[in-house]
Amino acid sequence: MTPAIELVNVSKMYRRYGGRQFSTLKSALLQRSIVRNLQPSETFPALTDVSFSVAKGSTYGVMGRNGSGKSTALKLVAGITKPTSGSVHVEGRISALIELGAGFHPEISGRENVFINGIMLGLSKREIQERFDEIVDFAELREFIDAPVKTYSSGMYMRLGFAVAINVNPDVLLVDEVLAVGDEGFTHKCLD
Amino acid sequence: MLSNLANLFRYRGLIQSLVARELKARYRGSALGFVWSFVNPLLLLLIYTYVFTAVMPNNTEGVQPYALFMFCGILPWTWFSSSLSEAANSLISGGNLIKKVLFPAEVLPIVSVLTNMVHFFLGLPILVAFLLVYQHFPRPENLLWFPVAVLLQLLFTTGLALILSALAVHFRDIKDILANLLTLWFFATPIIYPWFQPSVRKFHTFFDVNPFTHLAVTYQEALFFNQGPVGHWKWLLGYLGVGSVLLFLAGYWLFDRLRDSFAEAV
Repeated sequence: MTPAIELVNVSKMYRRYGGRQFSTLKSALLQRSIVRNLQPSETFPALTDVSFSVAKGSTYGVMGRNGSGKSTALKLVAGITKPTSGSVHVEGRISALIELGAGFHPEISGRENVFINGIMLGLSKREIQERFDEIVDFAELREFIDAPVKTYSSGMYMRLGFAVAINVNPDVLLVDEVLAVGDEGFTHKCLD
Repeated sequence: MLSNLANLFRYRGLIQSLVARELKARYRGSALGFVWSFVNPLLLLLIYTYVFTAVMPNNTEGVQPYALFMFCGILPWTWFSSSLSEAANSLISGGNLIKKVLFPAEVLPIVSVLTNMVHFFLGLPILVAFLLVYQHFPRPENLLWFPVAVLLQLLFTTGLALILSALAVHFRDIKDILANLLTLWFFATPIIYPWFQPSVRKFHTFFDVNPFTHLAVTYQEALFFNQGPVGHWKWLLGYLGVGSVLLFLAGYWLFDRLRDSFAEAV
């Protein structure tokens, strides 16, 4: 059986922009510094030679200190950034809970945001229509779904973001430290 | 690159709902709401009419009524310039999406261009109303060139928007340079003066190189000058048509090359 997630010898270098503060468009075009020819002093290794694979139907946890590269690994799996070397392979639809409600627009209603957020996460309009009640009930926001999102409390905001992301029915669900959502009851509901 | 380009078609639902969101959010909370899309160009046209008929009358022959002539060029120019300035900022202001969600970044500048296109379309009824008020009726066969010009402008603007948005992520100065450059570009294009003016003809090479000249002149010929059929179509299709397609492909290529750097740099 092919694993759902497979990382092979993945390394990720971040650039440090401090030393390149004065680089201009002209110099970038002339020296092609935009196409990576970076000095070692200008990079920061976030991940070095990481390999792991996760079987389908299993839950895989990564623990570590601050700055050890957990979020970077997650972003690589989600495809938001690309590895500097090595390969990342993921089977199926991904939903990443790296930040809840990242695409919400504050001025428009919760209802409209559910639709747009769902489309951003790869659902079709009809699929969202079908799951809309489920999403709203899960977020416990039935009374406030037509209010602009800017009037929501941070807990309501997170709950709605979580409810949309979980209803994408992903094959691979990536969760960063975002499950500290809402009260105890809601946290338990999320973990189920 | 080609497969990414094909994906663009798949994102049409996303693009559509983001354009709708921008339009809804822009007027949310204002008393007039969507009516502003009509009121804004109307007020602009009234101000220009007053200034150029009462304050400093423009009596240039061949472009009377002057306010109407000017409006034919300003309306598409506004679409062009606001698209570019919004697009240049689009990746930076949408940074949250690029960093936190798996999101096709090229959608953002395209949404800026399309949102402003909708505003352009909403300004057209005002233009039509003024054409009727002035009893200035364009020739129907000339109007056929109008959609061609709109289509080419869309392609040209999108190409530039992709380039600017991708570069602005790395070079923030572009936003400020662009604002000034657009002002210069506006006055270097025959929008508030006619292209057949002798002082313009003298430097015609300079004006011919400017792509927006051909759009502005086509709009003016189609909507305002009804002495004869649109004579500018060779320039429009030949230079601007081919140029826009190339610019769009080049813009998309550059955007695609820089795509992986966005999540780290915004």
